[in-house]
Formats: sequence, C-alpha cells, structure tokens
Amino acid sequence: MTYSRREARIFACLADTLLAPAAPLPPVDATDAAEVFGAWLSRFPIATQWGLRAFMVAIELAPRLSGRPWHALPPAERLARLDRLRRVPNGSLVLDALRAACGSSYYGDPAVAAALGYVRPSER
Amino acid sequence: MSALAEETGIVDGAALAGDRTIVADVCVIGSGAGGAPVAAVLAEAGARVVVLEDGAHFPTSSLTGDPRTMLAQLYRDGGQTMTVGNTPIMIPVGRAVGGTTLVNSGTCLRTPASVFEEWASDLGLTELAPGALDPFYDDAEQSVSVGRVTPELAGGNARRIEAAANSLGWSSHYLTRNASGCVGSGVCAFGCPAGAKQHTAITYMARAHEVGATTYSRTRAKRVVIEGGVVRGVEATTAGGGTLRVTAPRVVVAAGTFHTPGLLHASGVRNDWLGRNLSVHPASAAWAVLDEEIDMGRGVPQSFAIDHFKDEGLMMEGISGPPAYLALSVPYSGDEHRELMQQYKNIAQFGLMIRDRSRGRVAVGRIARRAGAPVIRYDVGPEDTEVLWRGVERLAELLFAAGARRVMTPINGVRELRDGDLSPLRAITPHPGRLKLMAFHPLGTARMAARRADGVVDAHGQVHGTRGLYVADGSTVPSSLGVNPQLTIMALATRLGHHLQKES
Repeated sequence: MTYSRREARIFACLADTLLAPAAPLPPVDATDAAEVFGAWLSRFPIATQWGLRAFMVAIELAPRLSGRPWHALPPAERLARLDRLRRVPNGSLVLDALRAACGSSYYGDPAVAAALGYVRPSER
Repeated sequence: MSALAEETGIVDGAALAGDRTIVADVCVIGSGAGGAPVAAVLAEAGARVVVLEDGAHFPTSSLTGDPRTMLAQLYRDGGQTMTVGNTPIMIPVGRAVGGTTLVNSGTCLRTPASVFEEWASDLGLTELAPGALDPFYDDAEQSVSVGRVTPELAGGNARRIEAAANSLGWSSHYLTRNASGCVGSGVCAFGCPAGAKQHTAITYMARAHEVGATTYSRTRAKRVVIEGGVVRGVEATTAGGGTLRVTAPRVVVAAGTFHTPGLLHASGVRNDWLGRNLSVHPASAAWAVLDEEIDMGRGVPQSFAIDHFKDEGLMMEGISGPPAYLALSVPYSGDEHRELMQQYKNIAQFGLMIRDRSRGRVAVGRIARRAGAPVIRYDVGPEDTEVLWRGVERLAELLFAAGARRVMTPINGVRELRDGDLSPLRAITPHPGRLKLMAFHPLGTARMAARRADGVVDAHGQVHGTRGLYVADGSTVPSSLGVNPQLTIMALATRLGHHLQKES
C-alpha cells in the first residue's frame, strides 16, 4: 500500500512534536523527512508497517472525539497526549520507535545535519 | 550469461523472467561472511560455482553513507528486524551482495581459546581445538586486509574514551578491522563510500567472479532439493518473477542465522536443534555531553575496545556516527530532544555487549510460513540482565571519567545521571524490560556438533544425515563468542571450502 499524503502529513506533525525543531534548525516541512520516511517505511516488515500506520492514524483521530484532530492541538498538548501512551503496554516501545524514525529522517536532511556542524564525507 | 555477468560476474535476478535451469558443481546460498569464502576457495580451485543472493548488488559508487536511505536499501526489513520476548531487541542484518559484511562495523577478532575448549568438551568438536583454526584465521585476515586502527584515524570519541579508560586503569586497545585506505568517513554501518571496508562483495566475491563464478542477485532460494538423503540442487525465484533451478551435487547454505533454519526446514531437514540455541550478544550504549568537542561523525565508529571485564562476559566497544544515526537512539522528546541534538558536536557515545547465556529460537515450520518471515524469540535471562546492568553502570563511570557533565542511559526510569552520581542506577532492581537493547551478532540456530543428537551440522558444516548439504554462516557457531564473529565465520567457511575441495 502506498504511503499517502495524509500519512506524510501526520508523520511531519509527529516529527514536529517529538523533535520540536526551532531556529537555527529548519522546520520539518522544509526538509525531506516525511518523504524519506515513506521510502524507508516501505522496507519495514509488513506487520511493523501496518502497526505504525494504524498507530499514526489513531493518534490523529483519537482527539477528534473531543472536538479537534491531534494535529490541530497546541504542540505541548500534542506531546502530552503522546506521552500518555507510555502508560499502555508497549506504548513506550512504539513511541521510541516513532521518535527514532522521526529523528533519523529529520536529522539526516543535509541542511539539518549541517546546522549541527556535521560535514558529510563527500564534502570533506 | 548476460552482458552484466560478463562484466562483473553478477546477474540481476530482476531481469530474469521465465524458467531456467543451470548446472553447477557447487551452489552457494548467500554471499556474506559465510558464503563468500566458500565460493572463492572453490571457484579458485576450478569448480563451477553459482551463488544465489537474496539482496541486490551495490557497487561502491552507489554507497552514500546517508543513514536514512542506506538503512532502507542495504538492510533486511529496513533495519527493523526485531525479536519478541521479555524485552524487544532490534537486530539489524544486511541484505545485499556481501551480506551483513557490507554494513557492519568491520571489527575482526579471533575467538578466544577458552570457547573452542568448551566446544570440544561440550559438543565433541575436537577438530576445532584451540589453534586448529589458526591457518584459516590467517587466510581470512589476509583476504580482507585486517589491520589495527590508528589513534589518528579512530576519531575524537575513541581518543577521549581511551584517556578515560587509562585513568580508570581499565585494559583497552584499538581494534583490528577489515579496511584498506580508510579515511574515517564514520559511516561504516551505512555502506563505506570510500570503498575502504573490505567487505566480502569486493574481496571474496570479486575473487570468485574473477575465475568464473556467477552470482544471481535478487534471487531467493526457496528450497534445497534432497532425494533419498542426497542433495540434487536448489530451487529459487527471481525478483523478475522467474524460476531458477540450479542442479548441483553440493549446496552450501549461508543465508544467515535467521533464514538458514527456515530454508533447511523447507527443504525437509529435521533436527531438534534447528532454529534453537540462538545467541545474539545483547548490546546497548550510553551517551554523554562533554565540554570539549568530540565530533563523533569523524573517524572510525568502532575503533576502540575495553576488554577489562571480559572474564565477566562484558565487552565495551565504541560506536558513533552522523546526526541521523545518533537521533535513532538518544532519549527525550520535544524541546529536550532538540537541546540534546544541538550539542551533537560535544556528545560522546560508547557501547557494550555481553557474552550471553540466554538462548532464543527462530521459529521454523508453520509459524514461520504463516508469518512470511522468521519469528525470533529471545528472552534475556536474569544472569544476563545483571551483567548488562553492571555494564551500563561501568559505561556511565567511564563517560564521567571522560569528563561528562551529563550521562544518558539506556534504562527506562533512569534517563540521565549527573555529576558522577551512579546511585539512581543502583536504586532500581535490574529488569530486562527496562533495558533498551540492540544486537548485531545472531548465532547458533543450526549449531555444529559432532553428534546429530547435539547439533544440526558436523565439525565441517555438513548437515547430519544429508550428503552434499552444508551450512557456512553464523547459524553453525555453537555458542556466544564474546567477540565480534565475522572473522570466525570467515575462517570456518574457508576451512569448509578447502574441505570440499579435497573431497572432490
């Protein structure tokens, strides 16, 4: 199943929430993080792919029961809602995996890595 | 043979549709640390060798060192191979011509004599008594250009840790690894863009291709054909939707510790040890923020080791990499995560692994067929949990000795230590579920033993009870080694290659 634009938007919002980029680091939307994650996700084991996709959609939709989708909440509230998931079985595992995916996808963007002072081997 | 094969010896299975049958003297399944040496030795002896490789071929020019894209391309399951058990363990393995040797850290160490003594006494492997493998170790070390990392090339992370280990009086050394012309790109685990790491695709496999061996990449072996206890060949499918049958009187399975048991089972091999006895060298790491600049992205990531606690089954080895690599593992979320990552240049990292006594298993048969992939069960036992916990304490001690202001641990509930205070670690009862673990050395699921009742293959790697069927990968290694296993797998495979050469 193709990684959808909606999933890419949720992933970008997850990365924004879990990594909280701020100047001098560029915003997630200005990087290739969501696109790169889509390609990476397609290589995951099928069960992991479906689990992560279902988890992302559930995160987005669950707050709708109380009025607004997750992406429309203030960042602090978005993070607080994610942290609450650590109380459920394997919640920490899934959140840590998502944060790792977000972190690697975002900090691998050449502009982000350069902002941290990293010089790629091809540029040394 | 296609034009591509004439040039490189590699035929891309994606270009192969329809059915075809080829004849060989030996069919090798897998081109990593186990399959490649066998292929090279036999091809150089004049045998017609065909290698089937599930992964694609990645020439050096295609290796960018970018963790994100290379994880997706070079690793099986995008690097997300994971165990189930009392704490999940990520065990990334390679999937490419060259296997995991394309993406490992390159460390090459010989197995301690005490381990060979255990194998002799416990499993009757007297042919592998201490010293017996030395000529094959010599051969493997020469084949992949093993040499010791210099302090200059090791990078700031290793040099800082070396000073800390010396101040604590801990025994340590720079590691030996398979590299030639290394420039310290710092991305060994994501494909060496300098072509310096001497992985099996550019060493053994290149030698095999030079003398006529052919590798079918993106071609997956489905079963070994066995009739009346005698091997007849291999059936495989190609990424192009075709079927490839290799008729050969000898088949060497080197599909890796996770996949070899399933392939043997699908081929009709039955043995109580098949899929069992999995050891992994559970591993973890800790991170520290220092005042001085470390710049962990430069230098050889795994260049330095502390062996002071090896008698306890604990080894410490360096790991480091670019920001995308660090972000895979550091704790925290939100502003705390960003603030930590912004100190990237001042972060040091060091790892540990243990010689595990716990044993897991890879499911074969119905469960594996339904899952469509190996199901790996591994529970970290209480003794190993204690050693890991002690190891994290020592890592923290080491990093504080290195000048750390803050140390981040891999233990849930003790995210950070400050000012050299280890008491928060000691206040928590060790429990495997609290540990964030990875592992890189799966071994033992088709273990070697003199008797069929004790193992799947004999002392040379022949499957007990099946003539012509051999195994040459980490699955045959009977126990946890306490050192990185690739050199031992290469040495055992070289020995098997010479054995088959004599037999024929």
